Amino acid sequence: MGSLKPLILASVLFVALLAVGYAAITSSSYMDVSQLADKTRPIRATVKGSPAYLGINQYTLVIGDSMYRLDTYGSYGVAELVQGSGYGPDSSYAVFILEGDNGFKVVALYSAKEFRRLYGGRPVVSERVVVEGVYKPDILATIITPFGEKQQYPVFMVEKILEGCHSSYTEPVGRISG
Amino acid sequence: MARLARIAPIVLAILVVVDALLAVHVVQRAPFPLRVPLGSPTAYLNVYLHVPIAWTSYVMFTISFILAIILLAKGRDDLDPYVYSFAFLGLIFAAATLVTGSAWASESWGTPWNWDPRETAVLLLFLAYIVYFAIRHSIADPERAVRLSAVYAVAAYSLVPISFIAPRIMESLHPTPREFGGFVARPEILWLFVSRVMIALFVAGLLGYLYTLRTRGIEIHYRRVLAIAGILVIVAGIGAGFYILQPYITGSVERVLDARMQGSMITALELDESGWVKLDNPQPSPITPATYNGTPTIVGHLVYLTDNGVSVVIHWSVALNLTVHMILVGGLLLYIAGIRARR
Repeated sequence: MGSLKPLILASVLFVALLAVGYAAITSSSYMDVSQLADKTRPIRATVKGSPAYLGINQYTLVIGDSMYRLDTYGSYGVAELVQGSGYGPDSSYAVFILEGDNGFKVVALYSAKEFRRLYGGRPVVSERVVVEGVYKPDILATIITPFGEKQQYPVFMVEKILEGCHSSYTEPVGRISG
Repeated sequence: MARLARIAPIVLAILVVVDALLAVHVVQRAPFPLRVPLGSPTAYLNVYLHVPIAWTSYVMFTISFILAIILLAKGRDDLDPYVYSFAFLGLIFAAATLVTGSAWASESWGTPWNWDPRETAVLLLFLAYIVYFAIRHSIADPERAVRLSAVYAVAAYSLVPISFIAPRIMESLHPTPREFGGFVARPEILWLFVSRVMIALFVAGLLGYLYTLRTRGIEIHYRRVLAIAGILVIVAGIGAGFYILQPYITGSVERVLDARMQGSMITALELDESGWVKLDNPQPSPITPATYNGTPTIVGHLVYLTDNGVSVVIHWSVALNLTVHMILVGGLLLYIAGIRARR
């Protein structure tokens, strides 16, 4: 017959590792955009947020001395430089206004060329996106609506869009023909 | 038991070959989502490869866990080879889960590693079972080694439920069980997916059983049949992988950004490198159905243009994962066939 001691030891270790595992997965979840609100210096971060609906419109985007024409297509827009030297490494950006749980918003800028290469001409943007990049609280982007209304948000320079696959599992299915 | 030991190698060899044929079939013909947020929709063929591998590792660890509890509770030290063998197989399949998942994530999530809650949990699970083998081999006294490693086998299992429920309790890039269940429950997917999972589990179960027999010093029959099946599956896996990857090697593979259609015929494609390419004659879409809600379903796919039309290229992660799966299973067959029984 076995003794009870090893079983008790196994149970204690089981609970201890369970706690370690639980702590690991809860802390490996992504930071919400709202958690950027109290950051005062540029930081590298991976954040999740909901892209605000921008409609099918033409806005103006101003960052520093650079002015962009911002054509919007639902949850995202494409900004083309029209005046100034341009902000950052690209002359055109895919633009999201990412909103956090408490309503805090950032303007997320991602290389338009890369966005088009990855997402194609008719992207389906998820309701929640996770982005990795650098948050720049000292750089403010001003978005001017077609009615002249101005909204100002800090900039988040996106290096990678980490896309969840949730919506794929509710799509209709197809096959390779032949 | 003696009868099972006699027929198990033959059943295993047959199942491995059937599993290989089924895996190649699903890669070529199985359904995938028509629209995906990122990357090629064909990357989702990994549902039929990555998921069975991951579930196999969970089941192997579960068997090892249950046997370790019985060993400790009833003093059944004779179960130790089973605890060890199933933990070993679980670890091998967990490693394959990490490799196949990263390959898929590089296309569908934008980067191979994301510190997603389930990714983190599977990595911890893998590391926890590596410690099991370290404990097991570092203790000189065999009796003590059996008991202590069984204690640890029970403890390490705690990361299996954590990994399984991670997408349910935390926001994750992985689908929730409900989303995934809804997807595979569709009639056109269900039988293919369930067949892949069931055969993979039977194969892993028999691998564990035969591996244990060998390590217990029991001679198994039909070792040559196992070896031939192993070699066949490895060669087929490498061949199938290269066949899928051929367009990447010989041709120019581009992503479709947009398409113009005439009914179900493609008249022009916008490709990421070449820009808009007008086809000489309208070509039938290589995806069925050709459109969904007025949107061409070819958008997002990787293609190459030939004189005969437009061909869809299956994402490289599917080829890699198919090859990894078949080399893994074939390699384990060869390993079992080649172990000398202890006398």
